[in-house]
Amino acid sequence: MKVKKILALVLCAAMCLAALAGCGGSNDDNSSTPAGGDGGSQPGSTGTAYKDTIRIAAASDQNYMDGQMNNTNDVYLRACYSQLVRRMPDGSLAGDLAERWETSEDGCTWTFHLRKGVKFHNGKEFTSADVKASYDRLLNTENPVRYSQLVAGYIKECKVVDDYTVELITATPIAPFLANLTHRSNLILDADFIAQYGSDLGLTAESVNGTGPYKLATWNKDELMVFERFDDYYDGVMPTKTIEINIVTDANARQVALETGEVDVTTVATSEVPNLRENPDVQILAVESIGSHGLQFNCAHPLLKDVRLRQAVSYAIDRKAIIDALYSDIGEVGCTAPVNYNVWGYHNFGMIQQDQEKAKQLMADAGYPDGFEFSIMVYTNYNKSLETCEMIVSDLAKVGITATIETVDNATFNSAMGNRSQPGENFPWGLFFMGYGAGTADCDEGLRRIWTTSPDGNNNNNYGWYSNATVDKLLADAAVEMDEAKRLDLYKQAQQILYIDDPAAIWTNDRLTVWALSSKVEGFVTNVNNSIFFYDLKCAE
Amino acid sequence: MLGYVIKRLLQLIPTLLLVSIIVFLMVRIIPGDPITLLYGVSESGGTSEEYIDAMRDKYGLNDPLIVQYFRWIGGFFRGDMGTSLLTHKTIAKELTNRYQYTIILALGGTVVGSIVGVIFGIIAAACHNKLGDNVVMVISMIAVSIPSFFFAMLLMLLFCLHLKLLPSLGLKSWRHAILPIATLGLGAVGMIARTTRSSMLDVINQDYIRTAKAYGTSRFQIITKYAFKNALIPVLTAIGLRFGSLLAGAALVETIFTIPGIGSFLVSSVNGRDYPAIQSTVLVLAASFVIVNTLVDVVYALVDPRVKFE
Repeated sequence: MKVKKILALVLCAAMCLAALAGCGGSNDDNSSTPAGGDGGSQPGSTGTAYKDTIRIAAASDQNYMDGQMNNTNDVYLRACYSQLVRRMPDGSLAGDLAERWETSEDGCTWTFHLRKGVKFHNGKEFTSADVKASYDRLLNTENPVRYSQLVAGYIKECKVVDDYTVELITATPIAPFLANLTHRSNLILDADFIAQYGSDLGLTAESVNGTGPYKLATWNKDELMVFERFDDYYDGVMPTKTIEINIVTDANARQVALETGEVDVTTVATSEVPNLRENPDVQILAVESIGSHGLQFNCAHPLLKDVRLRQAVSYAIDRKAIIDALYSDIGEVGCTAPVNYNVWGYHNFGMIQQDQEKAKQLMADAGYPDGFEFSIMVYTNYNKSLETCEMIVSDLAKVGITATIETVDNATFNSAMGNRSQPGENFPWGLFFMGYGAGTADCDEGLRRIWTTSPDGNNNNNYGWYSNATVDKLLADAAVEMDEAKRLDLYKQAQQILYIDDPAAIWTNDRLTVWALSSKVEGFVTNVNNSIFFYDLKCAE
Repeated sequence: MLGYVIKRLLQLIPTLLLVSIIVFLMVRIIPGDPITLLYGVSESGGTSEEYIDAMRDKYGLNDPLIVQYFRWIGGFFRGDMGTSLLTHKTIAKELTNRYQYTIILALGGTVVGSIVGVIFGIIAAACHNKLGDNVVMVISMIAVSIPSFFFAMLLMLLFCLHLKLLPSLGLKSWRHAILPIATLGLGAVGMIARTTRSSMLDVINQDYIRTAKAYGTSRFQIITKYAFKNALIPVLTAIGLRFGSLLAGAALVETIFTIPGIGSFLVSSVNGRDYPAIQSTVLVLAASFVIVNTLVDVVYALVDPRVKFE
């Protein structure tokens, strides 16, 4: 009797579950029908049919869609904006809004002849007034924007000659002038929008008005960006109508979304790359970049301000083992200079070899034969930063140096870098993990802006208070040296000091940017700044 | 009862004031601040101190703490929650945009969890110390112990990747809602089943149940009609607590399924040290938690006539 009732109860429960499962089943049938219908509706077309919308899953959102303020990345900015000169996927420089340009005899005046008939997304015609307004905003020292120092240091003035001619005037001839113009801070904004939105420009979809191939139609911060094709783009019509950027913070979720076909393009955890290479529905693109990773010295640290101890740390590390163990899975190579090998002016010094005897000798010379202690700050969002530091700590232990690792989140990392008015303030760490990128793909940005002593002596650009008078002079000279061979030699000398003689950091790996795409995606092209070129980007149904 | 509800709602004010002071100070104690995050370090160089300072001025972060606090809390009680430093939208707008997702998840998770949990609990109590009890309790133990993000990943791998039955990204249709709700429901099943079981066992051992048995009332009727009703109050409490905490957003599940709910908003606000967003969101959540619990108390009276409000 009892057993029967229990059975009845269990059966009831089972029926409930079955009913639920049944619901699920029928839903799935519903969903598969339209998918089948789609497949059937295509035989009419002869060639391959392409999707109207390409969906991209990005790990993080842009902070600003304004090149003068954006500190996220270059990936989507040039969908909306153009600039005078841009860097092409093959690394060359090409006119964008400027059709051609010439330099005055003294090399201080650059005259740009602008393209005619270029339209902004709201229909307004682009003229020299927009160039002037953009550069005036960038050069304004009273109310500086984020990247003012990159350009304000050498451009004195932007002058309008006529509606389609502008002059950029510098105090001295500047060797990397054109390369610097390709930086995202030089993207041209609409003069009216600058007046209307001020510092809020680029924070909402409405406040973005550029001359690029796509207009920003929708922007729900940290959720979704929708770019709609701009049919009046001066340089042709892009093949895909809509580009949708979904912000998906979780790397696993991005990978699943790619494999289920919910998105067509994404970035994945590099540890998953070998697995994904096996998947025929996925293509992996490892794109050359201008970035490197490394651990930077705090040169205001009571011990590590001694160059011998910094060298000792540098020689104690087995870089090859780190690269082989952590970075070779996606094809990244070890650093051979203080800049990435794609940067103009790079000199190959080879990977610094581990030399424990030399390290011990240097420590003894510095008065620490039995070793010393310091801590390493790691912001773990840098790819494999923690693993790298763990290997470094064990290498250091072998020569008697005790290093401890402290992991920090983004906010702590930023505040440690930002809140200080004198060397060493609020910064107890001896080494910290950093990424380096020369946005203009030239040593001037890759070295001078980062490693030279700032006028106030508080090197806010290199965050580690590195200061070497010889390096300062070499890099300043190189910036105005118009002879390429001489300029290369100056950079070689500067890199020798930064890399070996008075090391500023331990550079580990030259980065690749890894994209995972559906095998249906064609024509996915970026330049070394990761800026996507949309000319051929399409995705088969 | 109206008096009781009003009294409970009035108690909200000191609660919220206390929470507001704690959260206001807490966000300022953790290292990092929103301005250096937004405008500070980047791989291609930093920003001038003057610029950072000007931005701090713009957002009033250079003012004394007491001024900042009263400016915020004053605005909050006047209905102005402030503007997010990260998204540059008003926090009221952010919350209304995101609450719809959170409500769907919270309601779905609670309803699924309650139905399954209560059925499990009743089965376990009815088969006390027998096979059915053990099976159900093991299942609910697993449900309690399995971390939600792990279960979510398992579901995602199975239903999205291998069976290709369900989508994994966002909450755009009811099909998108199945897996997140299942995950959240599972989390609730364990607790609700165990509460139901122990509460049922208490009731089943009482005299009037024995009397009902003696009258020859069927076992099914005893359990569903006489025992369950009286066992309901602790179960309601458990369900109410679960619902209240789900209203605060399920950050892990939202992150894995990429749902723009309150939980993921709060997490990204904390990561970005978005002071006004963290403060106002936490206050709203605290208020909704208190309100849900007040509602549960009211439901007690409907379920159990013995409950009287003073």
